[in-house]
Amino acid sequence: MSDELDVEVEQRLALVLARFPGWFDEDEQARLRAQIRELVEASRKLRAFPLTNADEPDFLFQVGTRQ
Amino acid sequence: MTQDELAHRSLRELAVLLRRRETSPVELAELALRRLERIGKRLNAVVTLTAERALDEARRAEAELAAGIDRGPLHGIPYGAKDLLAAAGYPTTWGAAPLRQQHFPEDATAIARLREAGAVLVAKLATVELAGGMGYEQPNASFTGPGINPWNMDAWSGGSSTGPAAAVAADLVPFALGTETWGSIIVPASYCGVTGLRPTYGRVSRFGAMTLSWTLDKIGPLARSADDCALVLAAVAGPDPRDPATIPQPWSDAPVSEQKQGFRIGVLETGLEFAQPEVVANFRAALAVLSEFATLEPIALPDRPYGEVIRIVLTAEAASAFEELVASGATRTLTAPEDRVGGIAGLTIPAVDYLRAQRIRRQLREELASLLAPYDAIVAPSTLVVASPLTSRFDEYAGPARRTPLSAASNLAGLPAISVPNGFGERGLPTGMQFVGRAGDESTLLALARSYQARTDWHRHRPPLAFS
Repeated sequence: MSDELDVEVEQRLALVLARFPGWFDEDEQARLRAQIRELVEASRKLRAFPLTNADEPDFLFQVGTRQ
Repeated sequence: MTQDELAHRSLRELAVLLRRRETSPVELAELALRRLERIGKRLNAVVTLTAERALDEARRAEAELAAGIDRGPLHGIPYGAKDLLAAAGYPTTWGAAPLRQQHFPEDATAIARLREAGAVLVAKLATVELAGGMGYEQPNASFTGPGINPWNMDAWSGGSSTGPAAAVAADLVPFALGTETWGSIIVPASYCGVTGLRPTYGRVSRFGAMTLSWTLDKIGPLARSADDCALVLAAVAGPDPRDPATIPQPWSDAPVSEQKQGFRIGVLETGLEFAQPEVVANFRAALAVLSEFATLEPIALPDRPYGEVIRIVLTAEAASAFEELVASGATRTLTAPEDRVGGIAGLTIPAVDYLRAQRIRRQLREELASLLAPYDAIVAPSTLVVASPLTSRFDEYAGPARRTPLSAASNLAGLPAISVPNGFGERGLPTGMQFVGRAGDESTLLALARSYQARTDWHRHRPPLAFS
C-alpha cells in the first residue's frame, strides 16, 4: 500500500514538475510532495467508499438558462 | 454619550439613535473610520479604508433620513466587507500581494444590496490570501500580516475572515460581511467572541465575490448578536440572476417564538475528547442554559469521510478557479511559503477522483438531512480549541482538534450555521458554540441563538482594546 501510494505521489509530482519546469527548489518540491500525498491519501480513502452505477454527483447539468 | 460609546451599540440601538437624531450617519461613519485607523491597523484588520465612498453614502443616508425616506434598520449604519467582495472604485485584493491593484468595475451583489439598504461601506477588511485556498498552515498568510485577535494580541484572529471578525470584536464596525467555504465565518467568529452566521448555500449571491469553490462558497454576516446578524441577512439574501446557485425564494427574518417552536436540539459531542478543558466546560454550561427552553438529545454523526470529501472537492475546484493565476506565476509571490505551491498540488487531482467525491457528497448530504429532520438544530462547540498563538502552526497547536467533522459535513451539505460566544478559555480567549440547522431554515437557528443570548451576556463582553 505504502509503495503504491509513493508511486502515485511521485507520478503526480513528475507531472507538475514537467508542467512548471524549473519553478521549484528542493524545499518547495518537498512541500509539494507532502501536499500531493495528502490528496492521494484522501482519494484512496474515497475509493474505498461503496458507490453504484446509479450514484450521481451532487450537481446537475442544466440545459437552458435560469432567469 | 461620547462618540466612542456609540461604537458599542447594537444595530437596533443605533437605528433608534439615528431616527431621534441623537447621532447621524456621517458621525457614525467618521467614528468607524477613526477607530479602523487607530485600532484596526494594529490588528492587521484593514486592507483599505473607503473613506470617500463612506462619506458620500453617509451624507446620502443623512439627507434621506432627514427627508423621511427610511430604507430600514441598516440605513446610515457603517460596515466593513471582507476584501474578497468587489467594491467599485477601490482595490479588491483577495488578500494577495500580487493582486494589490486588482479592481472590478461594479459592486458585488451583497455590497450593492447593503447600499440599497442604506448601509455605509467604510472599509475593505483583511482576509487570508485567496481565502486560504492555497492551504496555509500558520497565521502569517496575507500581505496585510497575520490577523491579530483583539482579546490577546499574541493570538490569531482565525481565518479566513480575519478582518471582519477582529473589526467587529473590537467595535470598529457594528457588522461586517465575511465568507465561508470551510470554516471561514464560524472559526473566526468563535476565536474573536462575536456572532457569525453562515447562511445556507445559495442564500446570498456570490456575484462579485472571489471564487474559491463554486459548490462550497457562502457569504454571511459577523456581528455582535444573532439579532444583528438577522438584520444583515435580511438585507443581503435573495435570488440573483447573476448567481445561478442562488435559492429562488426570497428570505425575510420571521422570528420563531420559543413557545411556538418547542425547540428540539441534537447535542453532538464528537471530538470533545480532543477539546481544551475550558471549551468542554463552557459547552456544558451552555447546554444547561439551552435546556431551559429546548429539549436536548444526544446525536451522533455517521462515520463518513467528510474531511476527505471536502478536501478533494475544495482543492480541485480551487485549482481550477485559480489555474490561470497559478500558471501566471503570480501565486509564487504570496506571503505564506506553503501557499506559493498550494494551488499546484490540486492540479494533479484526477477528474474521476473529483467526481467520486461529489458522488459521495450527495449521499452524505441526504444522510445529514435525514439526521437533522427531527431536530431544530445540532449544537456543538464551534471550535475545539481557542485561537492559536501567532507563532504556532495550526497542527502544532490544535493537533487532532484542528477541524471538526461537523464543519466538513455541514459545509458539504450547504447547511446554515451560527456561532455564538459562550465563555472564555486559555489565555483569555473566547470560546464559541455553533448551531447547525436544516437547509433554508436560518430563522430557527436565529431564534435559538437569540434565546440563548437573551439568557447570557457573553456576546456583550468586549476586549479592553475596544475601549482604548
